[in-house]
Amino acid sequence: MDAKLVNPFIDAIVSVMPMLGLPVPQRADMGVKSKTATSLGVTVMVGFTKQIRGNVAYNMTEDTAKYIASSMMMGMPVETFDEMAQSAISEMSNMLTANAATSLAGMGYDVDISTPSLTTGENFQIRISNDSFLFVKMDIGGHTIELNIAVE
Amino acid sequence: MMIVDDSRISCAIISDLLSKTRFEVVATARTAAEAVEMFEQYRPEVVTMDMNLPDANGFECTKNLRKIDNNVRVVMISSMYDDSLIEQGKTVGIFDFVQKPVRIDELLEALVNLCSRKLVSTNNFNEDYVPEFNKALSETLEGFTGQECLQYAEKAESDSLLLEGISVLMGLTGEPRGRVVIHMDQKTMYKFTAAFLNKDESQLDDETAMETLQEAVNIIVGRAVSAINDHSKGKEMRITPPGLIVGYNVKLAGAGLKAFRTKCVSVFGTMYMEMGFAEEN
Repeated sequence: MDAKLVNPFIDAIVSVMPMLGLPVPQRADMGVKSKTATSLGVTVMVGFTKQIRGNVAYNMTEDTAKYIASSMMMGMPVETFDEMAQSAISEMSNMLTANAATSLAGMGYDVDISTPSLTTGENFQIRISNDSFLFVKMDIGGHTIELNIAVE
Repeated sequence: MMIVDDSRISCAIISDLLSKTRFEVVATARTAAEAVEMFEQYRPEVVTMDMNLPDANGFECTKNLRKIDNNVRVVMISSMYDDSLIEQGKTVGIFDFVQKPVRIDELLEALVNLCSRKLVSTNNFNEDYVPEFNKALSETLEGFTGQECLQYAEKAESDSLLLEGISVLMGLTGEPRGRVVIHMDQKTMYKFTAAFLNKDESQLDDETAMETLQEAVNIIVGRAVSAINDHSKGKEMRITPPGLIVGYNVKLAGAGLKAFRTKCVSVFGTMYMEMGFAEEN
């Protein structure tokens, strides 16, 4: 997988999260995984297509999702990961992927993104590629978002 | 503009009213067949449609015009005007009604509404898109069994969808955006993918079955989207690569999409398909 195609996704999270009132994300870990990732509780998949095709899955615990949703909603306490909080996390995923798509366009790759699909549950597996995919762990104020990125 | 009305008098009245506006009448049709012919020739942007035509009703005629250009804007001008007609109108993308006798202020208001509304609101997902996905699913399944599979439209009881077993999710981009999810239990996946590969179930492992299922769903959704693109001029839908979710009691959030669900029973077992489309506003 071409690392230069993955960088826009990392740059997106670093630049967008502070706009949502969150601390600047720091890269905590990075590597290549094979085929499946295990959901941490909340996983949002966004597909992309056109000149570059693939999927990105934003993976986090429900606690982290509530922390982010609360910050996005101006610090409003988020007790349960309800519809409004889910909608905030979907919107965040949409913003991150759209931001990455804009960077990719700047590199000469036209990319369209799909609507985000947010899934919640326990111990479920996500498979975004038949081969390997890149995972990047970002630390955001003590919370972790795992990005799983597969580019065909 | 084109006026479709079987009454010569009505055509003359509407035409006369429009002559006082900046809308230009380029064609007049008295039957549904003539409407199609004139439409192809003149390609008007707006059509006024009568309810009762000698060879079809106004809704059928609108459907035929939409097959030529899905973006055509239609206002219904009819002596009848009731809730049932309004509901039926929505299913073919007619949102504006003017009752006869036509008053210029009412006609203008409807035309201004019609022209200021975003075109995408005329998307009729249930009629234009859903059947193509259903067809692609059933044809693919029947292709491997030689037997008919039974499809049932299921009402979306809630916004979120409960996934149990194996789910393949594909994003739709372009116009409209959305997603398609096909899910089933593991047993059904094994039976189906074995037939797909022309192998015995015992020869498959989870890895092969899942990869095959992703490819099969990619084919099904790809076929449906190609068929839709073929008959919707000027618009293009694309698909993102399939993603797979394995687990039980997994909830997929509704995401504000307009969702349609189909249950498909075949010799392989039961498969469920949800098609969700974004309504732009």
